[in-house]
Amino acid sequence: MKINKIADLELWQAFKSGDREAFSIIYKENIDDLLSYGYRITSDRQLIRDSIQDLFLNLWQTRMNLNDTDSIRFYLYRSLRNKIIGDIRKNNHTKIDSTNLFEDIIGALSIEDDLIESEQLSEQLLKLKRAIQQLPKRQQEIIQLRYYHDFSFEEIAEMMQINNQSVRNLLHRAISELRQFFYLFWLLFVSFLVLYKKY
Amino acid sequence: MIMSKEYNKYTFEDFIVDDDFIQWAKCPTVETDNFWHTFIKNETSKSTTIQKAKLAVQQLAIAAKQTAPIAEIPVIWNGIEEDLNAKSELIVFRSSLKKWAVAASIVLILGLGFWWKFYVSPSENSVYSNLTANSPKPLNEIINTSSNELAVKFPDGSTALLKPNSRLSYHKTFEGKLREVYLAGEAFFEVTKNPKKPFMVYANGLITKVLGTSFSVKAFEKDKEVIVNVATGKVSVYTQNTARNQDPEINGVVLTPNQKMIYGKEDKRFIRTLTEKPSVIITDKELQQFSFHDAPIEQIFLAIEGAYGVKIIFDKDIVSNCHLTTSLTNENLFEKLDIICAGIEANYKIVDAQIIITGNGCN
Repeated sequence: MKINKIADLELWQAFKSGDREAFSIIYKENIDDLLSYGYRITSDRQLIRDSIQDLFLNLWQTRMNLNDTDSIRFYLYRSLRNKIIGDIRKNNHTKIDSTNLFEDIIGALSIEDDLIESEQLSEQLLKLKRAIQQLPKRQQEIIQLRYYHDFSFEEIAEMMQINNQSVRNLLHRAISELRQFFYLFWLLFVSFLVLYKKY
Repeated sequence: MIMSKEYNKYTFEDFIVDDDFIQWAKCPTVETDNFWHTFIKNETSKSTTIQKAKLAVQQLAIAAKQTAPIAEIPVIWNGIEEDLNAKSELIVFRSSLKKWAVAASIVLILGLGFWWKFYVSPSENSVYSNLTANSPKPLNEIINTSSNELAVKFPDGSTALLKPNSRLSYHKTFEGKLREVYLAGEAFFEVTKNPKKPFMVYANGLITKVLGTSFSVKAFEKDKEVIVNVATGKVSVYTQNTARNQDPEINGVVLTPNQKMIYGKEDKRFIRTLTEKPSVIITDKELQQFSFHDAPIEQIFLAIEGAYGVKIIFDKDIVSNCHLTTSLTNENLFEKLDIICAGIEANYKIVDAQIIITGNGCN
């Protein structure tokens, strides 16, 4: 959310003046996607909880220093990433066990959600989703940031602290990996068009 | 839109990873639609590739979202709110200490008049006024400037007796998950039972949480201590600035009837002890049976424990030969203890709200 709409600007200014209601709206508007991003990087539930909590508290405490043109969205995602990655690096050993533990829980959750979604999405889409989950972590992250969260390559590069070209290379690799799925989509799409034209 | 790119040389993958192409595939505008339709007309060989890539981007936009448990959304927000309340508390608490130091030096010069004013009305930046000012819900405030106790009735039927020079605020309707009351000064609360909606009293950095009970809180801002007295039921008391990520109640103190807790605001220490005049928690009829004839001392201690809900610690071996004939219906707890200890040549002291008996035993 770049602050370009008047409503956003008003919300932002209310938040800066210490309006807790505005703060909670900012939370509500962003939390769903932040969780999604957090769970892309790690499956440690507690770590994600703590990190998101920290970053919103930081946002509140530093609200006076922010200006109207700052992108809260970019700030939130970058902070979330820094916190999670920082913690994983620091506690490399202790986190392994809990990650596995939580992966089981999350795994179960995702399957359930997937089942619900599968009624709306084609089976093909579900396969693509699973295929993305099989990619190396950083490739998964870039795909989500670019196609779901709509960050530019520059922003992704800054967020992940790698250069622009590396982001493109990693993404290229990921897309090649997923190519077969896109081909199947295309076949489905074309056969749909053919059917459609017959009537 | 950058038109100078050599799109005619682009492959399927090139399109998928192109910022402008993604923008068009996800959110087409009249301008971008025109551009790409014109491009396809001129480069018919690219038509299929572009359709494929567009479809791929659209599928990616959906499939790239990692599923996350939405149940976390309120959990995390509660954590944020809790911490926010605790933090503002901590900051203001520090500044109010500083203010107090300044105020104290002025008091020396200006004398008691000023001090009195400071005492009666909480300083502008006090813990209390900060908490109430930051409350997201509208508050009712009640100030007792009289010299008598003032009865306050809360929307849930709970009551408070507000002491002179005290004030309290509460949410008009007690909406939400908690019944929250902010206190500056002293009050005695009688809380109606509602385990689903804890009753919380915020006073000078301390939270007293109750499910249904009666107790008093004394938290004048000029005092260095906050005192919580429990008459009936159980309350848990903890500080507002306990570290996040852990249940703040873990570091708190649970109080049962006739216990009180003194919280030192400066050293942040809890001291649990007994109230000055512990009251009997059994019926008068049961108390009538407090007559002992050559009874083993252990039996008398057990009776006292039951009558006041207190814990008496003694060495069974040392007191095993002690017997006493006494009737203990009229004395208060400490008088009873004095009588018993005199009878068996022992002493008692109160440590952490427990009565510890020491002596050399009886022969």
